[in-house]
Amino acid sequence: MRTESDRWLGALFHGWVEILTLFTLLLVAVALFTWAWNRGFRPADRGPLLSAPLLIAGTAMILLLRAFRDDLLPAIIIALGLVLAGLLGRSVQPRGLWMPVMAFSALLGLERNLSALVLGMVVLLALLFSARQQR
Amino acid sequence: MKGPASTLAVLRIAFVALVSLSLLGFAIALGPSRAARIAGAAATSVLVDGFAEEPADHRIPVIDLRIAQESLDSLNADLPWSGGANKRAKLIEHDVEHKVRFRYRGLYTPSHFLGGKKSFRLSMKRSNPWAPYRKVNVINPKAHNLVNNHMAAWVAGSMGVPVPMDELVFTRINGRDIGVMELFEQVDGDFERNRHLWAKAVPVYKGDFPSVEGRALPKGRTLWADAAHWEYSSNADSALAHDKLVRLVAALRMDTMPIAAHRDSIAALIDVDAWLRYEAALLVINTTHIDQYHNQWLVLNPRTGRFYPVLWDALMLFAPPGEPLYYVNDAMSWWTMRIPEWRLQRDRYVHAAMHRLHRKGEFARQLDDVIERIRPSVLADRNKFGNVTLEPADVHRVSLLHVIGSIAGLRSGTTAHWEQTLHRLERAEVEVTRGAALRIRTGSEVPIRLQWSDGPQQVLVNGVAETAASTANGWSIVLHRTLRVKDGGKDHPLADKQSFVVAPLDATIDFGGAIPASLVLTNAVTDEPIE
Repeated sequence: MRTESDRWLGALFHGWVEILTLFTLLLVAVALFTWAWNRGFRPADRGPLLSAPLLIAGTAMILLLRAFRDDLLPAIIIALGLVLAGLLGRSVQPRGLWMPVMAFSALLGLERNLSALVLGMVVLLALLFSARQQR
Repeated sequence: MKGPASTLAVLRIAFVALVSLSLLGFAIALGPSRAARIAGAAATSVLVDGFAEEPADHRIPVIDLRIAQESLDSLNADLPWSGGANKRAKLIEHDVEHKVRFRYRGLYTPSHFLGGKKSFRLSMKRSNPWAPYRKVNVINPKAHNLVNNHMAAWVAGSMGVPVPMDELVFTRINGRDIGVMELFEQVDGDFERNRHLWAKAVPVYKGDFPSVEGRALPKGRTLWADAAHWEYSSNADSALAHDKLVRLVAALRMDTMPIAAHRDSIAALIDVDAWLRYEAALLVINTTHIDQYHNQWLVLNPRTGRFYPVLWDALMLFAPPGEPLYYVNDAMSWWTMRIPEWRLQRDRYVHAAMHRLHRKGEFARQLDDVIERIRPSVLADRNKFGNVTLEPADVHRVSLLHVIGSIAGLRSGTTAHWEQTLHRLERAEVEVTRGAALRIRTGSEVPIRLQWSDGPQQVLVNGVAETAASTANGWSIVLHRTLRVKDGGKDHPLADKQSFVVAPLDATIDFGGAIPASLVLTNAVTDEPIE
């Protein structure tokens, strides 16, 4: 039945674009953070602008928080995400970006775009001002 | 042998290609225009609405409902057909629990049952937070506007048209925010009692699509074709009301009787003034959503023994600006247009209302007040659902931008419609030729009033004797305009979606002698003199 399939197709597309939009926001933020982070290194030591593990973990945090909103679940998801970020930040590059990216993702997942924007700007400025310290 | 860097590059390219292909696939399946609109709604709802953090406290009533999750699940699993099933629920008001019955509603329009904001009805006991109203509908504001139905009710109410109680509310179900919805009274036999007009239930008829039986949407019935097409919605005795309705339906039937006979028969059964205000409101709010098949209510006024209408689901600006001045919503509209003095009175109500609402700024002030009241709730509402394309199935989450755009559209739409209509009602460019008789020609659409004090009461209008009405200043006649059905249309009271156009006027008035020196011509709608 055309209407029935249309209905599902439209809903799927709407959800898919929502995910892509959130992913794009995260992607832009990660690119900016990484660029600022890399300024603390010599050109030869700089890593790629986009880290796939960082993007995957951040996206997972956003999607989980968007899907589970009831009671304590968001708090548990954020706590686990930050613990995981702390652990991964000890070994996976870019080490200093795991915590800020996960915090940024948590705010996006909680639909707190303004807070995410403010956090993003603070992180960006902090990374830029600390760039001379030879990370 | 490829290194890790090149593998990563391939993966990145593959990822971008997959995303692009998925978007392309959806664009092909849905069509580019639909896909663009859905994508726009999705992207803006994510990007924009999240910036509204911690809005102020609600300034509109909050509906806090508790209903067993399994009851909700069972209803949700069978939408829209589960709409007739009532479930027990509790309405919380100041920590007091009120027992209510909850059911979904709105079978015909997907915006009522698709998406995350579903329309429902509450049936309550006599003592309830919304007393004296015992049945209220809480609906996802449909069309492309949160406030258009609410404003339509306000506009019509300000014109003296009976309207249901209508409030914008913020809804919560089981502690979860559902968002801004429109709550309005379900019209029934208590309509007069709720307004302290009558102590008992009164007869009320509902003119709408037939009730659903089984799992198919029934076809609409032409309401004024048969009294049986009206559904009785009251506990009051229906015998007298039914007899009146049967007679009214008969009076609206086109036959060989003169128009005056129909006029008198209708006037004996309908409160004509109430009906003309209602017809005027339909033009002022520019709706065609009230038609031969649905959205009609008739209440029998126990004091006059005549029916009056209740404005229902009017959807302000349902029709685009520039619609005909004489659109035929239903058979009653047809007769209103056909009876010149009724048509004139309707136009006078229209002009007075538009002057007050538009030129004096009453509508803009009321809209500003409504926006001010709903603003924190709209900002807090992350569950705004509406049609994003013309496809009924495309009910999706929309953003704050959508709300802002649609309210701006309501403002500009009403301005355009009212400016155009006022211009048509005020334009009276008349060519007057004075000879042995007076010849009046005009291509404007309004009727012309002639007033004089120093001549005879009897005049010949196009050779037909006419007795002028007596006024404080002498005599007066109105040159009513002739209406003809639009080209290709059907001139019948039960014909659907018809409209009339005004034929040019060419009238000769013979005063039986000299043309009175005191003769004054005025626009019969605005009473402005014609130079």
